[in-house]
Amino acid sequence: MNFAAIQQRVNSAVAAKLMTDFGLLNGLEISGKFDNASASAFSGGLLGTNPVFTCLAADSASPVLTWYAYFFEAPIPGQPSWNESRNRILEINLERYKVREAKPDATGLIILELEKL
Amino acid sequence: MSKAIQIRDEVVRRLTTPPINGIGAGGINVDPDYAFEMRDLPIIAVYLGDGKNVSAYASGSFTDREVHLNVRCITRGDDPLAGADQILDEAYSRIMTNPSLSGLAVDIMDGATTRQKDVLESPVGITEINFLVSYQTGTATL
Repeated sequence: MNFAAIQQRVNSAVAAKLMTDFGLLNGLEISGKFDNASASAFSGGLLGTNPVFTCLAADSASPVLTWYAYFFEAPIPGQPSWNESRNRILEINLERYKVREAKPDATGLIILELEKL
Repeated sequence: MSKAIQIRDEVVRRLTTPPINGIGAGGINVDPDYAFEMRDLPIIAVYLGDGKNVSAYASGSFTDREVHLNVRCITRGDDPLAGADQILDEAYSRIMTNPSLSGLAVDIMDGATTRQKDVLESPVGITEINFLVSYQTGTATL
């Protein structure tokens, strides 16, 4: 068993156990971990939140990117690049969010930074 | 009360009544360091900066002074800086229409305009106009 296979197996097990927040990403059901921690801007002068959704990269329809692929390989034709995850709409907890940034961590997970609509 | 604070309060009064379009009567604040929350926005903060004595010589009867006065607008939205633009346009008009500030000031000039952007659950922006207010006080008063 190679490392990629081990990684995928571990990620699947973790997702099954811990990624228990369900939503709709562009109308398709997706599971992940939704966090809406408090955050601040302008050196603490403005308080708000920083909503993020962590899920398996494969589930978010973004390719799993290794650092090598990200920097050296051309996008695969027909496969959405991680940039195309932007502007997708996530509906979760009766709220709607726009994906502002999609940040793959190169281990099979992706963090979707959200903007509340 | 120092004349600088009276000047600040006069500006706050002008921006409060009648309410600026988009800003409620409670949306004018005098503490720029208050930790506003997203639900408070848009909001305007009016606060004083540094001041100084600019008299070239001791006149014996009055002292020429200057003070920086800042009007800051914090907004949210897809284009928060554009959102602040129309609010500050109205605020600027109210301040500069009578630059003597109802007799409190000799003159008022606008200086730098600064803009910042950041992101919380939605894009936010700060647009701030710095004014320089010239005024006079007695030799033994501020």
